Amino acid sequence: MKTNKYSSRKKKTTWILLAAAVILLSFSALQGARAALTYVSDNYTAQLSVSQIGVSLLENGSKVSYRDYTGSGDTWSEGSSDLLTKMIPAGDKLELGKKYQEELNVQNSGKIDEYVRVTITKSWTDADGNKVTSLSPTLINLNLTGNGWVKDDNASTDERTVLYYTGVVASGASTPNFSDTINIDNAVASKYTESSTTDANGYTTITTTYQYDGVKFNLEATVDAVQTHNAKDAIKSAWGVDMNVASDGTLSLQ
Amino acid sequence: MRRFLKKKTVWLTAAAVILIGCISIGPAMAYFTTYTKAAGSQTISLGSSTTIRETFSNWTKHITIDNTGENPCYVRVKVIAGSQFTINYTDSTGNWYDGGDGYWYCKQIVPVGGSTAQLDAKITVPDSMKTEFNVVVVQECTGVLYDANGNPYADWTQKIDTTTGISGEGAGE
Repeated sequence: MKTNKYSSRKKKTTWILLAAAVILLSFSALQGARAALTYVSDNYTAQLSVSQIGVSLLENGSKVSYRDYTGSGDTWSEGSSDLLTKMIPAGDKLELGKKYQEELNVQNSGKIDEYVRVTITKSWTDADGNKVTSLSPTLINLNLTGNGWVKDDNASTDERTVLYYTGVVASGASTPNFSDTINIDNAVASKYTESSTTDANGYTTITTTYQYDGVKFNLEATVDAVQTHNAKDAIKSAWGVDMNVASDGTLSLQ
Repeated sequence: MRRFLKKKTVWLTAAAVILIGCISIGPAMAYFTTYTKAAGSQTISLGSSTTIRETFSNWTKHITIDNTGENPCYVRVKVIAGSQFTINYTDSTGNWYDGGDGYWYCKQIVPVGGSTAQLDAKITVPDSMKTEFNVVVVQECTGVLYDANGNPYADWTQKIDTTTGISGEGAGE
């Protein structure tokens, strides 16, 4: 009798511990999924339903890139096309110093309010696609407008510019343009080599070859968006920066 | 109770529970984020190429410059001759101006495949000239640049020289 009682208690204890382990294990699995929800998480929507975040990049009023959560599983509506495709009229070539329209801004194409930042990268490549480091990215002049966008000088270099929009971008709303024109500095044409040849008649032909003829300038814009709820921690987690969030939602760099 | 605690199964289970519990400690918080990006590029085309077209009649060189390159450009022209010769330029079209530095400048940007208006350079040869001589036409071109206000201009400190010449005509009587 005593043995049966002990055996019964043993089984009961085992079942309790098993149940506890299962419960904790399930919590663990849930937390693990949440832990994967970082900066560019593809998973974070797994257990979240109605809050659909989305962001789009607009060039001269046209959407060129977007990534919006569909609200269903791990499915995103996304697409991207090239920048600068309409910069130069067909048949024309890029002219140095000439300012071309390049109005870039961000639209909240999701269903929740958000904060956004933009990282602009400028570079040079040769005809073979190799990076040309002897040309300064500063010769690619993307004119920044301000307009509520602040530059993070600590995170910016000649090649990379990081801009934060200080206001909340409401669902469906767009930010002011963070750039309006782009031009290539005339100095690109100041680098050339010169050679001369003299023919049988004694006439000399001087030929100059531009050092940077045929190089490409590249412009890339990456837009990051993060929720406005619990903004300070969300921004720190997603973007890795400490920001001040004013009572009206305005951001400022620390 | 003591017997219960001595059971290996119990301790192993407890250890498993603690370890599992530790896994759930301190995960990153989940936030709604997204991102998108776009990129593009354009090729820089530098360099100009021009060719002189000239005819000679009545001791006058009729000069036209053709833009044979891939970019629009500005051009200027100078006629070089010995000091005993006098060169008088005539621009009947109003498309050239005297730069005061020996060059005559075409006012307009010469488009790709286009040509300048004609510039005439009349050569006055002294009657006493009895020897063969050369009168050389020099033309230069430079790419079109734009200032901060978007106005086109030529920077003649960046030269692309193509020197050509025509053998001098016979001596005058």
